[in-house]
Amino acid sequence: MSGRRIKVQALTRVEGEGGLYIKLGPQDVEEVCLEIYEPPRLFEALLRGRPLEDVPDITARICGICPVAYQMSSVHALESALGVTVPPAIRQLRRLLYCGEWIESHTLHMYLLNAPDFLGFESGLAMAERYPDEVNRGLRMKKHGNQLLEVMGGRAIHPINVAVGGFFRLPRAEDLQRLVPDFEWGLQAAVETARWVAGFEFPDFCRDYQLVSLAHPEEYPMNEGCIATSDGESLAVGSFENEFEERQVPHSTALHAVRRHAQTPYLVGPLARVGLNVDQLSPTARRLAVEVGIAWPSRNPFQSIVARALEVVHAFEEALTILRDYQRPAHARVAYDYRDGRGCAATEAPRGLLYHRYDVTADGKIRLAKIVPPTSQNQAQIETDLRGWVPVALQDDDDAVARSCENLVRCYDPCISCSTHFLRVQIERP
Amino acid sequence: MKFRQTLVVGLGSPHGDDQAGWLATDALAQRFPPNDPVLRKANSASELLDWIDGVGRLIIVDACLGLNRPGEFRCWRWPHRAMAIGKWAGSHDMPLAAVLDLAHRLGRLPPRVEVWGIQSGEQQLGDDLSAAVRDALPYLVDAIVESLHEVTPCTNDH
Repeated sequence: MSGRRIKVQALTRVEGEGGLYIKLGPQDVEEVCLEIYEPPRLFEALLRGRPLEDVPDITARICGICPVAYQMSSVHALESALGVTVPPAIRQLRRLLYCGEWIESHTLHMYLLNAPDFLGFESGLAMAERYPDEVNRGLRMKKHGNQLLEVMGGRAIHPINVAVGGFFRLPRAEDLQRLVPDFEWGLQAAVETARWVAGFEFPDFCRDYQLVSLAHPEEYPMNEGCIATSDGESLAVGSFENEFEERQVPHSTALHAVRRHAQTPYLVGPLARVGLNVDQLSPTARRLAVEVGIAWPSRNPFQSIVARALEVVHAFEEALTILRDYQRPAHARVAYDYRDGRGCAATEAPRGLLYHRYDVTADGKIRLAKIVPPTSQNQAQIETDLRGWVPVALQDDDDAVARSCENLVRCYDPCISCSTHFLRVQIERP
Repeated sequence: MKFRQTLVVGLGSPHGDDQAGWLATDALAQRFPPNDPVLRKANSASELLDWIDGVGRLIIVDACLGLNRPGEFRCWRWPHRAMAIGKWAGSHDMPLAAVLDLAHRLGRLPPRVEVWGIQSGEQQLGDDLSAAVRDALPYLVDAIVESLHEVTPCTNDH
């Protein structure tokens, strides 16, 4: 395998711009770099000095697919800084909003970005011709996720209704009730989706992951909980920066995250969430988790698509429960006073744990902001996995190796725009 | 309803000349009764996929590049080589041509699809509508109205 350098200039079907460079030595893989070359986006600096009320809408602009995640992590962190506790009804509506985002983000990824890899198509467009019923099903599921975002957030992309302390406006009961039939259909469609993707052929490629996600004793994690790991740790979110560290690498404009003490990578996202919280899935999703025949926690990144499908089942089922039981709360949001303080929070974006910390001033301004997105947390693990995957694929020509590496990278559903951005594979064989 | 099964979608954003599709849709709303034809605005072309089922004629209005000067506009009947699919790499941005191609492959594309493009000026973030596009918008709207009434049908013969 000597003499080869393989470079993917621009990875496709992932969000953002970056590449992949692989250099092979005479005996081994010498170098694997996930090159993220998009410029840093400087959101944290942009927030400094601005009113804290601006934060949810500004951070939502980090991502067009998972804006709710940025809104949720930011409002929870700010409420922590301000000493605000939202009532249960608001808490439940925030979960409902998050369900909409999980549905639209996961279905887009499964049907148009990731499934083509398993079915041997170059793109979602090419797959659509051969699998129109499946793609139409996925598009309709995504549409219903978007409809929920519109009702809850005012619009599907970059919703505008999330406020520190609650929401600007509460949804009307009739608007939520109107969604029920479509969500009943969506639950069935999600079940069919889970069975469909579980039937794909998965390469035998299990990794020694440390899985990391939120965990909550009473619910599948979205907005609250401790940080659990597959090594049995249960960490307070407030200790995140003591336990996890971001570091700069020369080939990427995004920071890489590792466990602070061991300096080892870790995995966040649906595979970690399902792996650590399978018992908290909704009843139908829990039954399916058994039916699909995967032993959870799975450590095969290619099976992330199944974890994603189970989460869509969960999201439809939980959303249905909330939609059916909804009674409009008396108040849209909790009042608060400004105070000097610091607050942090982690919530579960579709792609994994998203950490925010803010220092706020006594006159309600942001003094300091820190945002650690899931894709930057996964980057070091993706590179580690590629080092393990390249030798498996190396008997093929460079184009096939590059395609195969892209397939693996897509399994993590990286959002380079969030991390900062990525996409290109270059393999170097000496 | 004269324009039943006709959907007009303005694509764009609230920024600069990218507003053109939305402003055209607003102006068209002044010229027709409510929902005849159905008028919508979208940020992203992928939103079309939620609206096209049952539509017989789809008209899209968007700012574009590649014409001779800012404010110049024209209409293309889909499919057209001028709208060949560019690279669709990411998940956040599905370009119009990819959306129409996907709808076609899924058998959901309306039988008649017309795309009106108006050339955008060179702009910086935060700019307002350029004078050239502002001046041209009424003519664009007139042309779309004529096209709807089949006075000057949109063809690929321009």
